[in-house]
Amino acid sequence: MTDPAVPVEELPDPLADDQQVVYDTTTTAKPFLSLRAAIREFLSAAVETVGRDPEPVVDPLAGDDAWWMRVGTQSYLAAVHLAAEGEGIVRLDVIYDFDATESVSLPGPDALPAVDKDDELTVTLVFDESRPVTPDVDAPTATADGVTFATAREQRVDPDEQPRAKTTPVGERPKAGDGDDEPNAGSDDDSPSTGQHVTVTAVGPDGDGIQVDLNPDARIGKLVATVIRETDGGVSPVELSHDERGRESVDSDTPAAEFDGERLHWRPVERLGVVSDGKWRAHGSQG
Amino acid sequence: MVNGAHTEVKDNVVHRTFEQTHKEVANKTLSFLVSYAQARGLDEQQIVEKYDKFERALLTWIPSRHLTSVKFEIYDPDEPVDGKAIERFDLQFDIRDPSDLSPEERRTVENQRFEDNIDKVMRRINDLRPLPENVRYRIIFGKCGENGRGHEPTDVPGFSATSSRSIDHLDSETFNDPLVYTGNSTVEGVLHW
Repeated sequence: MTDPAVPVEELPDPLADDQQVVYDTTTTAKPFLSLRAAIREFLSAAVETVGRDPEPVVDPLAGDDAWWMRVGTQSYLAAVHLAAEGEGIVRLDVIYDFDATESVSLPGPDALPAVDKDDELTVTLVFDESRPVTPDVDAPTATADGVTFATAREQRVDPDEQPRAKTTPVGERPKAGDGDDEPNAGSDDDSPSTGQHVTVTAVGPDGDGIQVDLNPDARIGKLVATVIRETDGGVSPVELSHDERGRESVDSDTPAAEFDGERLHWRPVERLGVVSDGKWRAHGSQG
Repeated sequence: MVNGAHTEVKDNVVHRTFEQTHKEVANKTLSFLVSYAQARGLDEQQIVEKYDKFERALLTWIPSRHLTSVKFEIYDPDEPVDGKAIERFDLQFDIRDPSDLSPEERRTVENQRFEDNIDKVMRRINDLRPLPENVRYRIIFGKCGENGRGHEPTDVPGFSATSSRSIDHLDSETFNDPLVYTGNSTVEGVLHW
């Protein structure tokens, strides 16, 4: 069992959240194997979208049926969280309800941070500490450099009615200082880290605005992810511009704090087609 | 014929839904067994290793309506086979023939208003006093000689006949809410401790 007596630290806010995979006990025998397949598929797509090889991330999750049986049958695995260099990328929640609706859609590469090949990827398995029985399981073992697996615990609440519970990572985290119990630890060193939020208004082609609260440490890609989600834009890439005529384009990889109080204009970017690796490419972005 | 096609589609939907109730009961039963072992401080590896066999038995004897009970029996290995159990949890199955269901039970199946109260039972189990050291456990499947249609159960490899250890010396506690309820299947829980 992982040690609960560790510093409290929040997982970094993911750029893409509200992703849900359903653990359905009515449609298949061994539903934990279906859960494993769904999580591996989603993680693989996410890692590939940020430009990294997915195999070191999903391979350690491939085997060990007993591990998946323990965390699945006990409804213990609450979510899987992926971060790169301390910045949250995606969080996939597991819903243990046979009539729930699965919701998995990954923002396009423009909405996710660019991840270098040397950046540390951290996959955190979030366990639900409120379960009456908690299995004795550890995080999977990484099989390649550049990928770390960790565990965290949270008290789960009804995902349909309550905000997400606070998460307490308990596994080893890369680049987190010893005894560091401050929120947002692990974010970029050169970021303001004021703990305050900035509000950016994303103005669409029809002039309607979406207000998005962002942590100053977050990248502007978070805004893109929100726009895509809230405008029913599916996975279409979105282009941001600082000027109403679209002359000054904005890099989604820029810290949000630089746009404190600003209005950003967005427009969907036309899809140019599907390339051979199955990923959409548009507006010169590389998936 | 339009009416015939409509009836066939509806029957297919209901049939598929009954299959879902069987999977629901089997999955929840296995989940309970793993939880119970963990809650009582026992090594659940024994269940992990036999998961396929248990699942095969459940998915054979639940649809055929032969399964009557699954017992989690905890015993002292130094006691004789016909000795006393230390603790036992019985899952008692009532699996109904679809033709015997009331309209309300049928609606429960069709609308998938399934219930389970496993968490509630596990919180009670967590309150039990710790077990003595070096105890063992086994899972005993009970099935009837023939179902309501007069059919004998199909054999499932890996099972042999046995009898339960005595529980006459233990207190019994029946849980008010069923562990699992799907309209056509009810699984009740009885704790002997």
